Amino acid sequence: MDAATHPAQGQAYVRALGYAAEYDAAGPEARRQALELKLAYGVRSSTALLLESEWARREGGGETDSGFVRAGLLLKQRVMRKDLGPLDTWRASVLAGVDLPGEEGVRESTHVSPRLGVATTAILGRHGLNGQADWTGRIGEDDRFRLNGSYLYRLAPATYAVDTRGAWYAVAEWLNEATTGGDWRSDAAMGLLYEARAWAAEIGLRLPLAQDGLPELRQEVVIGLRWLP
Amino acid sequence: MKRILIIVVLLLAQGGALRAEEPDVVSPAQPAASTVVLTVYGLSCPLCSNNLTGQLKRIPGVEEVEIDLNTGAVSVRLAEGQSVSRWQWLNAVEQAGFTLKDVRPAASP
Repeated sequence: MDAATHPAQGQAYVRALGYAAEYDAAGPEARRQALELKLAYGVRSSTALLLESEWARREGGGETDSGFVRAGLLLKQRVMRKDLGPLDTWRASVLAGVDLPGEEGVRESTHVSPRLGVATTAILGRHGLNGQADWTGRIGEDDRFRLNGSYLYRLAPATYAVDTRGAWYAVAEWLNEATTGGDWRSDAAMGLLYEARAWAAEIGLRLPLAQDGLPELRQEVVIGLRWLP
Repeated sequence: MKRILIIVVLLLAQGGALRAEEPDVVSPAQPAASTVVLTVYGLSCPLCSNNLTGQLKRIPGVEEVEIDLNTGAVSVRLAEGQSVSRWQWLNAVEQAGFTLKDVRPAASP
């Protein structure tokens, strides 16, 4: 999920996320593997330009489709920053942009879809909290809403020092999705995150809590890498 | 009337003095020092602090940056004879997305 963090002015970071999911439904998507690439560039310290793209391969019903799912172009504006101590901070950002449709067979929409969102992040000592909500409008299809929350706990080091080069975090997420057509899904995810000074790696497992209408997720494994060039 | 004029002049002079203090944020260069210690708030995590290192290294004369996330102490080693104004420190920290609380020369060993 997105956090209210930004690259510095004139700096960029790249994030790659790999997904491998299995669904109970014997529909067109019993298995899905996807690769999502995100590039964030700091136009100003409080404004970032985000470019996203996603490729996927899905199997189900004896058929396999693969290709470019969508691209996203977003502007992220920090609207609040309260730095409360050396580590402690509370930030909030708003996002606005569009999703561009991908290739037939794997795309989620056939039209350009507007997106709006908000994200907030608080770090207090070893604890981190994220909240994120967004809306994707879809022409001729149901709009989609997402409401996500996460909690991070710094496992190690307990206290940072000058020679600290990285940190381990345990991550728990609550991920919710709904459409204006009444379909919805609520999932939980847990994972591990390692952050070094110029890169980060994460691994997580997403499991269903409850769902109605959307493809019935059995589980999803997520592996991610972030790099600050 | 004369008394009022004197009071007005004194108040204006006081206001000018206050305004003269405001540019403390944009003050003249700090005394030349080989190492300067900044106190920065909101550093959050090792990855986030990399933003600050990148911005500080763009300042001419900055050779090395060492960050203690726990205390927010950012030690910056400058090239010999180089000095950096408080405004440059403030600008770099703000552009990195953090809050500058203090700037001081490193204590002599």
